[in-house]
Amino acid sequence: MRGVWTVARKELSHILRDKVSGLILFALPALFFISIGFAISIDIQRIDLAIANTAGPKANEVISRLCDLDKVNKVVMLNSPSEVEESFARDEVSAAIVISEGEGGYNAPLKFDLFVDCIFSGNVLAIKTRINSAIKSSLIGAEKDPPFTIRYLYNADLNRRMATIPGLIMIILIVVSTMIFGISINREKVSGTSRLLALTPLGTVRIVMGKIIPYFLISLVHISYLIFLGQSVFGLGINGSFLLYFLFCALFSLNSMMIGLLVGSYCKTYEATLIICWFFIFTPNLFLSGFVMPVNNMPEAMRAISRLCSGYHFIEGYRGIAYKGTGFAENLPFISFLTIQSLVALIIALLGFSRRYSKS
Amino acid sequence: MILLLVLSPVVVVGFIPQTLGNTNKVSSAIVDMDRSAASRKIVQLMLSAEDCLPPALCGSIEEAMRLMERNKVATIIFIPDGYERDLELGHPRKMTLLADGARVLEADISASQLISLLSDDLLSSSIINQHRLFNNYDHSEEYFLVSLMSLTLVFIAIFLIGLNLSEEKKHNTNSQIIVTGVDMRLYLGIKVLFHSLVVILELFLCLLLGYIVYDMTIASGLGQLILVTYIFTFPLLFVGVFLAAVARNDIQAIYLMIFAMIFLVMLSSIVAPLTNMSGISYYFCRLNPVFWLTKGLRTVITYGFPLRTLVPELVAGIVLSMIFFLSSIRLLKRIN
Repeated sequence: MRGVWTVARKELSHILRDKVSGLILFALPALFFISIGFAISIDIQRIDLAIANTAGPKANEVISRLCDLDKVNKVVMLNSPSEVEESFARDEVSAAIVISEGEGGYNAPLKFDLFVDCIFSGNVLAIKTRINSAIKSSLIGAEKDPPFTIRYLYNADLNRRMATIPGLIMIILIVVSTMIFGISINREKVSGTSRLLALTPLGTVRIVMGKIIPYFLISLVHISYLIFLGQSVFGLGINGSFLLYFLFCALFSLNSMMIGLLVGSYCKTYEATLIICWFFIFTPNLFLSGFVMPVNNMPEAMRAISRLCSGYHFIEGYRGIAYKGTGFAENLPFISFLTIQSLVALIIALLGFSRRYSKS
Repeated sequence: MILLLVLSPVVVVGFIPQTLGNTNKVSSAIVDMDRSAASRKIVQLMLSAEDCLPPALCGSIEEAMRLMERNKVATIIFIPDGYERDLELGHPRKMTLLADGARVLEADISASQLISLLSDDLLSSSIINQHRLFNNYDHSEEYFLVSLMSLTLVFIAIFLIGLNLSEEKKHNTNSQIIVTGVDMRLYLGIKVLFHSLVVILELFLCLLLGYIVYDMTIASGLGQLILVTYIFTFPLLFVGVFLAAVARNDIQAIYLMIFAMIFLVMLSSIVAPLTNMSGISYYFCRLNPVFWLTKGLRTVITYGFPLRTLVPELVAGIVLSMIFFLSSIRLLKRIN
């Protein structure tokens, strides 16, 4: 065990020797968490609207309702309906509405043509619902009640930060535990110190453990302050067992480290390590984990592939423990997947480690 | 390395957008306490709806809650006892829709979809004609296709040149070049030009994959796309140069590049559109070179808008490139 601590101490001194690198490693993830947590929202925050009115003063009430709509940020009045398409390019509007008189003279009801930029489908429904409801309420008064009483379980006020926070924690842990740890493993190869380490009587397992320990401790520090920031800045408490939550995050971090170990020990250069980490680990986890788009919305065959991403299991388990308050049994599939994937990655890394690492 | 550079767009551009190309299907459980013809009609309506997965029929709310806890359903519709009787009496009792708030996006969309499915919405359909622009499908495949193309190009632009320069710094190649009398501006300029060609090659690879796998077309033309990509790549290349120049060693440079990348990517329109950015971040995104590149790609590939709509970003890109270029030269000269 003494050998392991010696390697761990050496690794820790490597990390903390350069104060700027240490500062980047600890401060930037926190800054990222807070700033992106506030910046990104899953729902539309501003609707820029263009209106072309050919119905005259009759449409004034509808227009004023549209202008007062929640989240309508900018209203551009167009001179004629032919300007609609140009206004999407010129004014960057998300929707345009053409109000005209219906057939049957002045007393005929108004006619509306709603043009919506549908390129991001996630916002289309929100835009259409808001505009439809403003038009309806100006024409027939208060809207008819829906046939439901809606209740949101586990999130009564539908706090939208709940959607982004698990994804941001996943990104930070992948960056620190896979990318940065992978680079640190690879650095020994690139600089040739792995040869020297291989000459010592420590053996592969102890060298690997010694390298893992400091980064694992760093990721535990990250997890701790992310929990604190999640509660204090975003008001997201943990409904389930705190210990289970902490251990689950630590397991994901360990899983990410094992993948980093695998990549770092097999790649010959920094470039190759970063390309693999960015394109084959970070990007799939960002898009397929359920952070950007719900996994249930994916085509059937693709869901199976997304379930190979550790990020999916982390986000699902996180939501279960932190939001729904579920216990070990309910989250066993996610815990099992992360554990098995970590062990497989560790075994493959160790198998090729001594041979490849010392041959650098 | 070259193999990885070829393989990475295959995974990122060729594969990932396929997984994002579907619409929301409401997964629900129905707890029918009434077991009447009226409540069965609701079940039938959901079974025949395109937007809904076949609902799970549960005998009790506890059974449905267990399904929600295990993420099997996102919504539960509770039909109370006496629903049909009250409906016939003219004062229908309200059903309860329980949505999984832990899965915010699904809960929100599913609730809206169920309301529009089970409510009479005749007025809006008769007086409001709805026109879809730029995307005839209910999914965002093309949006994410462009996002992933941008993500690939951004990585190549920032990392490759940044790592190359930081390695040269580490091995003192820069000092040796200064001693030879070669102008540092010329040296860096040629390096940037070479890497910009790598970015364009990667763009072609992405376009080829987009065309083969998704039948993607370019709304404005290939020439405009190359021009826009070329111009917006420069600020990113100079960001890479600048970060490598600022860093004291290669590890510092890598850390800086990784964090700069994830900040720039998240605050561009790669993950979510600009309209979803809240508060001051909306304006901050507009100063982001990754946003400029992504917007440029979308303008040319998807929207087909004229290039004059990109003039503010083009000017900002050129100015930012010049600032980073000159500062990097100063820094490198001072260090050496």
